[in-house]
Amino acid sequence: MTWTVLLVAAAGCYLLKLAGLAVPARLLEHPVVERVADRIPVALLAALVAVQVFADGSRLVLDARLAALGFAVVALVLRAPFLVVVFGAALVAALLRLA
Amino acid sequence: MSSSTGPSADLSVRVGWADDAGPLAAVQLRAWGERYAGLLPPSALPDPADDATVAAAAARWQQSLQRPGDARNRVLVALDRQRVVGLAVTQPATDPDADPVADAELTELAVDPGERRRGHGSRLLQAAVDTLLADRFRRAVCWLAAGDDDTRHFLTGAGWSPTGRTAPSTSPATARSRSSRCGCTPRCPEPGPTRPPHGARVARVPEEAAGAQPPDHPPWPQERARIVRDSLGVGVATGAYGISFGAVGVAAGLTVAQTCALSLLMFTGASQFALAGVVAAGGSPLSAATTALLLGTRNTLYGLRMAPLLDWTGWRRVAAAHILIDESTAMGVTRDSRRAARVGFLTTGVSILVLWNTATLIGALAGAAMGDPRTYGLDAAVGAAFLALLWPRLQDPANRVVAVAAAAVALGLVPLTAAGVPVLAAGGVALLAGVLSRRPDPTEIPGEVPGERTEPEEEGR
Repeated sequence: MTWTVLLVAAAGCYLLKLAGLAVPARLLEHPVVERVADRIPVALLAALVAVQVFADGSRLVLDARLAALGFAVVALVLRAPFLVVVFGAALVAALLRLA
Repeated sequence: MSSSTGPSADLSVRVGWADDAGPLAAVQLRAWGERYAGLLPPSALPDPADDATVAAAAARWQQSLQRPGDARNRVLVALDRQRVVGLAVTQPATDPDADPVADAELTELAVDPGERRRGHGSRLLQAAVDTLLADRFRRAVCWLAAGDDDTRHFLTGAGWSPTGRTAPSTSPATARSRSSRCGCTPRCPEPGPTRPPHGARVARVPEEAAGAQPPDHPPWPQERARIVRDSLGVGVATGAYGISFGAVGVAAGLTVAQTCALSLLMFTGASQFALAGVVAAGGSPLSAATTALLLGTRNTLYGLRMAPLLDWTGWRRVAAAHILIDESTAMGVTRDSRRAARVGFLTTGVSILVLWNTATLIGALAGAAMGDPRTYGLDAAVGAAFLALLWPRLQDPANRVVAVAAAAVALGLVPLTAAGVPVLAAGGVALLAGVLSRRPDPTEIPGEVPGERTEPEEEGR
């Protein structure tokens, strides 16, 4: 099952890239299309952050993941590299769970 | 009014007056609409049909014409009888390597699109050069958008030559210390007596002296080496965090093979993280795939920008599509020639392809060897990864509103719906925001705009 999803999604992502290079620009260059397309990553990523941090199945919980997110915010404000943000957050959660 | 079909005594150039502010703004906005069509998304450009936009631009012109910032700020207008049909603006150059006494900048040269081919541009340029000489400037530069071949040909035809300097674009009014992940952020340029969004410059010595052309465009091998070096730097920095995707993919419950297949076949970071994240949360296959695809749509927009620059067809285009991601677009789109764009795009894309996949394998093997990912907090790392991908986009206030609304929608739905649905439903916020917002806001489309060199982003792909 997972393999099918994975391959279909990968093929779709490739076709989206190819479409950009192959489709005449005027077909897609509509202001509303562009504005929506600009906002999609923002909305989805924000929702993914929220769900990853607060959801446990169908429940909302506060746990070590929130502290990890807090670390990520501080690291990002300080312009830390991506790897520091990600693995630093993991470390914070791991240490909290040990305590 | 009736207008003659050829040059006549009705056509002239004079110094701009404060009364010209309104017509100047209108002509400039119309000219921008034509000049930047295909270079900037339509939503990035001020609308010449919008009265408020024209009035705001006219107010800036009025202020500048009444109180020039420097005695050597000059505004010239081209006239057809008494009607303003074009404009040129010159001032002391402000580039860091420029001498403000001897170096001038032609900051704007615009002719009403309906008045082309009647010699207005040449008359304006000649008058501008005469003015510069009278002001004792010895050299002039002019920044051009990377794809603005019309103006480039016009200037080189008039004896100007490329300096080889390029800059990622950021309009002065909206310069940001960090560019978007695309390496450059096309924001709405402010029309008026400021420098429009340009990316490459052309210089000329407005002296009659023979051999005065500055030969400071670096030879192609040197420029090529510089682009390759810059691109490899971005490639190494980006490829390395494939390690985090490898670890996160395995923590999400994917096998090592599946995690690596995603990096190899999907090869667009945000979509990969999203698919792993939704799978980890127990979401349905359909919602996982849809979320990944929605995040992949931005690559389509990158393709629209890159297609005319790369100009590849057949198997080259089919292959190029696979490495069409944030970084390769960013490193390609700011170039001022096709070969430079191709080198930047290819070097960045291929180096990331190789390193990202290698790093994914390392991260996945390490993650698999470590056992329960929760022990190491890797489940918590996923949220941090998404936040890091989102972060650069939050510099835009409108995006912050969208992000908060989307997060609220998603959290509200978590107790009510199957896993995966909350994230997709939050995508509706993007739809709503895009349809309702009237403000031009092309925050994430790679394009052109001038200013300081910006540092590469540490964002996901």
